[in-house]
Amino acid sequence: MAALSRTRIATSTITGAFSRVWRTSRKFRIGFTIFVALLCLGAFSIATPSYYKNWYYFRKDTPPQLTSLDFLLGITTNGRSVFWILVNAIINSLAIAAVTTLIAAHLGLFIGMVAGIRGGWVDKVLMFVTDTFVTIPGFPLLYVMSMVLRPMLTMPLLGLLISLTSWPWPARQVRAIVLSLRERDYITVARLSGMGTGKILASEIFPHLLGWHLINSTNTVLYSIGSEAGLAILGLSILQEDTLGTMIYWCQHYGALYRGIWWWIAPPIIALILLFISLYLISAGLQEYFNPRLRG
Amino acid sequence: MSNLLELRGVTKIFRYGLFGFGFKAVDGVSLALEDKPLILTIAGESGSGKTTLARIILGFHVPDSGEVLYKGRNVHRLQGDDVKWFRREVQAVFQDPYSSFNPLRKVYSYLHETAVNIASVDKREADGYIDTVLKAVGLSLDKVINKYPHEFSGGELQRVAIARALLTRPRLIIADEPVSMLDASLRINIVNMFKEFKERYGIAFIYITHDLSTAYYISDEIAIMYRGSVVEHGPVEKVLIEPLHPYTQTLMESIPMPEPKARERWLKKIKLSGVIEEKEFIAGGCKYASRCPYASKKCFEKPPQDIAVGDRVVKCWLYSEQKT
Amino acid sequence: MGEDVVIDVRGLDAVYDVDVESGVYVHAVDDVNLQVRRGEVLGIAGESGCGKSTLARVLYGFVNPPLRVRRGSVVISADDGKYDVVSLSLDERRARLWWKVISYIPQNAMNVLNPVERIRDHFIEVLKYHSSKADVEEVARYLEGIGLKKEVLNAYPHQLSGGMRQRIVIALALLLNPRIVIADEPTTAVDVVLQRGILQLLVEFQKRLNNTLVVITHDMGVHAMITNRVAVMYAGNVVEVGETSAVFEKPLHPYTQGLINSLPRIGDKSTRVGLAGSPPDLRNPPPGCRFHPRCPFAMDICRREKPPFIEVEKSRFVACWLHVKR
Repeated sequence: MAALSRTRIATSTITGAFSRVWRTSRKFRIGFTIFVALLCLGAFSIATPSYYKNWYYFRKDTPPQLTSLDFLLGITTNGRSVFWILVNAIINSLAIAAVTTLIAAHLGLFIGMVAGIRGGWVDKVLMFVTDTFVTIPGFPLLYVMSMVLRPMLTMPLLGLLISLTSWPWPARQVRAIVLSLRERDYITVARLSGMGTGKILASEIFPHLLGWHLINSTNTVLYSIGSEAGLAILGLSILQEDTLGTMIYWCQHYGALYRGIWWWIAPPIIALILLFISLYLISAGLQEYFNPRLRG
Repeated sequence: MSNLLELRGVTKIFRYGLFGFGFKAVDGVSLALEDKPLILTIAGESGSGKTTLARIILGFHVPDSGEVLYKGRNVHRLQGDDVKWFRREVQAVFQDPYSSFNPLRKVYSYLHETAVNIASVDKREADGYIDTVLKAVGLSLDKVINKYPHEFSGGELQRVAIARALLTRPRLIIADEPVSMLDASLRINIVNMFKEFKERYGIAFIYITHDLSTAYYISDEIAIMYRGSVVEHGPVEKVLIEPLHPYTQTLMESIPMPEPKARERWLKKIKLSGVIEEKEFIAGGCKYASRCPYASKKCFEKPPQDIAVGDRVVKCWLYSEQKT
Repeated sequence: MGEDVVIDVRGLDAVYDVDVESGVYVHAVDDVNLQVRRGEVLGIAGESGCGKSTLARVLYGFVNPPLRVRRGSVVISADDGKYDVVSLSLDERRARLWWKVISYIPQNAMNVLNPVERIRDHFIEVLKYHSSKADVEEVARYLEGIGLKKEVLNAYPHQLSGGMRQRIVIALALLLNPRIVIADEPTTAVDVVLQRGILQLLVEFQKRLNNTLVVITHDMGVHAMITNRVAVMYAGNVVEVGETSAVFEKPLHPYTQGLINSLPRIGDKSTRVGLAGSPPDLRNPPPGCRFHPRCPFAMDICRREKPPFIEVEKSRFVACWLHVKR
């Protein structure tokens, strides 16, 4: 009974918060709309026909025709439907990004909170580890690790790999915010009111972190999609699966651009650009909402 | 009579920089508060260490040396239920009412937490109890409930903060500059409340301030702090009317009084420092020596000890001959 | 009137626009009439939200949106004629009045120095802008005259203590010997001993250069110690003006009475009482006299009509129905 009403309250708070951000920032509106549009496009992947992975199913290098979904965006040099590859690629890229964000953003949040609130040697140790990861150049690390792990690379594993290079930044940022909040008088008053450390973290500190957590998560999604695409172009991603990155890889592999097969290379690039823009706008919009000084 | 609160040689060093260069924010402070309702003022300018001392007494900073004893027990060694006991006995009010409450939370939640967690009031009776206490500060539950901090004026919000401190029926309240952010015409109302609570509920106060006028008005005793040390301590009538320590004398001369007749004396030219480097933190002598008109060679070499003069304690070599 | 009036404020009305579309504004200065006399030290007193800082800015001419002057005039008598600050443009104010005729020392002045410029350059800039010769030696002597050693000129602001920076800002403000100096809360962030030194410095400059000093502060003690006359403001109105000793000894307006009576004095432990309530929200001020909700003597007329600002005795002004003879 109580759980049900709590869920109701949570949902109404979230929808309430969402509509507030929506109303505040034009950037957010635009970004979110584009993102949802791309998601809808990706939603088509549910209806993926079983033959879509078969090479040379269709006549290769066919330009786009409006006859059916299969031919909507033409056919690749491998004889596959660009449309179906695209919609799956969008979903897969986002799925990898989701794994990364789930791990990295939350790991960063947790470490930042603990380091900030405990201080002392706990803080020193955690920051030492964080800083080590910060200084290790991210992309070369990814490069090496994906080369090594190539045979057993799956999408979740790739997501995990990418998260290894993206968690330090949120950790540092969250820690900085917690440190500044910790000295506020109301934390002292909270302690004088008998609230325990856990409760203080949850109700005093976390609400201030929520905004940054959302922004960090959005940025991580963006970073992850970009990293995966970067790896893929170098041939280091999971080439059997369709992601935006691997699409571009195969395009390059077959010299699609030189041969005039523009319908194969254009969609993933446009999709990537739109994803980046929309995620950036969502992030900027959230920042505008949480930091009113940035509002235009 | 045993002491309610005792500070023995409390020292706190703040370090900064790569090599831990430190300075003593609080330097060997020893004070005792008798176990009776009284108001002790700890007075000093910014940088005197008074706020750090307040946090040490409350247990939020751990002293590097010395100890803080509340009813004979070391505040920084308390565990478990004893901590809860201490929080019940000693509460605090801070300078800025708007930073004392999280702007994202309703102020009532703090009152509720305090009542339930520390005062151990049953949840169902919390509202009624909180209402009673709010009435004691001139507010009421319906005026407070459901409101966020920014919906109150500074004076009202500070009253809420005081009410929160009163919920646990404390024996001692530490008030750190409780009225300096309020308008002058409202200050007297709040400090009058402190006086009333001392008389009616027997609560002792440590009132921390730089405003000697309000300090005189409500305190029984006063301790003057300068750069981390207590330089003079005694009954407020004596310390402020016939100050012994040169710093206290300078402070008293410098206060602008709301009495135009006192103008001539106040406008007599004083000399301010004109050089960039001021080595105030000299290892060795008295911290005030470089500004003191009576400084002798001894003052620059040996740090003065606490010397009893009548019912006061003064940290100054001028009084080493007098032993009343 | 006979006396030499150096700033003549008539019917001044200034607001802060909160939301231009819906016409919401904070009515910060409401129909203020005030005369500042040559060679005096005038204090403008009042608590938070009374409008004294706004008034100071408008007197100086430092008016930027959302601050907007709706009506009134601020006429300054300079050596070369009279200027209405309100009707001049910002550039004209800067060129004709600022630093030369009238100087402004803002709140938290110690933070207005440029952190990447040496002190010496601050002085040179001011001199050069007003096409005076930039003689560093003279500046050094000027500073030594106020107790600051020559070496200070080569320092950067962060190397100096807050008190020294404050004194330098004062020195800068008085460099070109302006006729009028407006000091807005000159000593709020400073300890009491330093406060005395800085205020003494301002008064000494005033005596030496024979200029007019307007001191804005909420600290009544400061007014008692250094001002000749004091103007008390409440909620955007000037409610009482008079010679300082007269106002302190026998305040006429109930607000002034409440304010002065609430100030504790050392040596006197008798119980004092403060004012009840809090200042009104100037987006929606109460009708009639703005003090009536808190006034122990409020009458029916106080709730309906604003009291006129009248001279009840020589040089003594009050805006209160209690002092209006029928």
